Amino acid sequence: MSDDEFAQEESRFDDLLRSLGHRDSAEVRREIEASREYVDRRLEFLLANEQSSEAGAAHETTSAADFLAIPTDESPASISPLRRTDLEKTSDLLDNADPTGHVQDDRHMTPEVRMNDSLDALLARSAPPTTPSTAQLSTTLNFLVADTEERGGRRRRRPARLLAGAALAAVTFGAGAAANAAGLLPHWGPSDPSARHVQVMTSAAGGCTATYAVTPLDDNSDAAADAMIAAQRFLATFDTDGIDVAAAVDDYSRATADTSGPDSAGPDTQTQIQVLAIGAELYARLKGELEARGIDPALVTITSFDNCDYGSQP
Amino acid sequence: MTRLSPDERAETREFLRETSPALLRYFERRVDPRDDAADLLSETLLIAWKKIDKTSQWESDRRRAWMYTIAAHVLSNHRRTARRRHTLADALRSTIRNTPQAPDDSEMGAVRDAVSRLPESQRELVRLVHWDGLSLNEAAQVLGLNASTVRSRYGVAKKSLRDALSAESERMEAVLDH
Repeated sequence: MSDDEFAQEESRFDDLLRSLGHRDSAEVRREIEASREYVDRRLEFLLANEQSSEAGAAHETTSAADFLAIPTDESPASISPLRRTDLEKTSDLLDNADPTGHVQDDRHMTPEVRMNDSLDALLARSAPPTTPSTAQLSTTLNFLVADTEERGGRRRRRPARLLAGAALAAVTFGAGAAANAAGLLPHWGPSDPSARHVQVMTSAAGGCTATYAVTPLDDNSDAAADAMIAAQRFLATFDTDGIDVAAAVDDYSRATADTSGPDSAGPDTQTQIQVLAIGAELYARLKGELEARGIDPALVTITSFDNCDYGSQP
Repeated sequence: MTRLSPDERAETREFLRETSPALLRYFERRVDPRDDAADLLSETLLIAWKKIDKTSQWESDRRRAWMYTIAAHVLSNHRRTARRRHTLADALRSTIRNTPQAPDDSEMGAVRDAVSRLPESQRELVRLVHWDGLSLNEAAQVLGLNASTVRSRYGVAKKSLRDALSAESERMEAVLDH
């Protein structure tokens, strides 16, 4: 490389570093001068190693030490003490560093590691945006995990599918024994300003707790937002003691009597039936409330979550 | 699948809760429409739950990589077959749709393009490490490669990216000069 080419490349790299805004470009430039030849050799070695790997060579022996090792045409004795130190430091960093590039100790950074650090920062920032972490997202994921537990461990047909009647299809009943109210409740309730769920507690189902939350369905319209607000208000003021559990169970039993096909695993437990019946009754009342207000009830759904023990019941 | 004890169930539940946000981001960055991520996450969690007992003695890093391995298989299947929608995933789908995305850094387009131009074997490695935060060892497990191959491949990918971005920087300068 000629002096002019070298100066040109250095200037270009200097600009790149400055544009990244992470490093003192003058300081990096000084260090580059001392070690750029070394960097080039290492990169050449990497390329050669990659090519030999793809050609089916015995690349299993390529360790982190090999990664930075001296090429065979260069004996260790010919390496200056400064470069040997760089080798050791860089090898340590590569062996121990966080691969996302956030190397902690700046004092031990060689120029190539600094270059890596800047590139790593760029790469990390290049990740496409995703849904921000919110209380609502957390709650929804908790629901999903709990439902996974129920689906992963169940032997029976999913109770919600027994509610396949048109009026009840939107009711999503979940976790059964998987429920751990203590793990979810902090995310719920009117006191949570970001929540779109309202908690309704009941002790009707054999002393366990069933929690019902309203969640939106696929719709980003104003109508859906209005439906959510109306549903939240309804649930916030709804008195579950007003539900006649026995009547709800009868209604539920009748509604589901004809839906138990040959693949049904058998009857639900009494507790399970109570939880489902209360949920169905709650949804029916919510549906009536929304329809009375001229709101499409299909814009929202109700999901229940409970900590009832179904295992030993008939 | 063996029956999990109550403690194991609680531990598994917590593990999935901790892992699910990162897995959701993993899918969101790789599927279009983005909210398909909801169904893929749901499927991944279910597979993990059914097979979790085999990981009981594993270190957390290995377990995490195992989750990404499942996710990669689910993603691969998703690209071949019609998606299976699940009711609760619809709630998550709705959450994704109704929550504004974090603002995109428009300047990162060139970097993303450079990553997308890498050979597939390097591209996914870079994404796993820099977008999903996996270590090289974890990425090796997800990709089914040995660690030394992944390290070598990663070095080459970084070199390619560095060259590509330098070239892009030069190109932009030339445009500005004219």
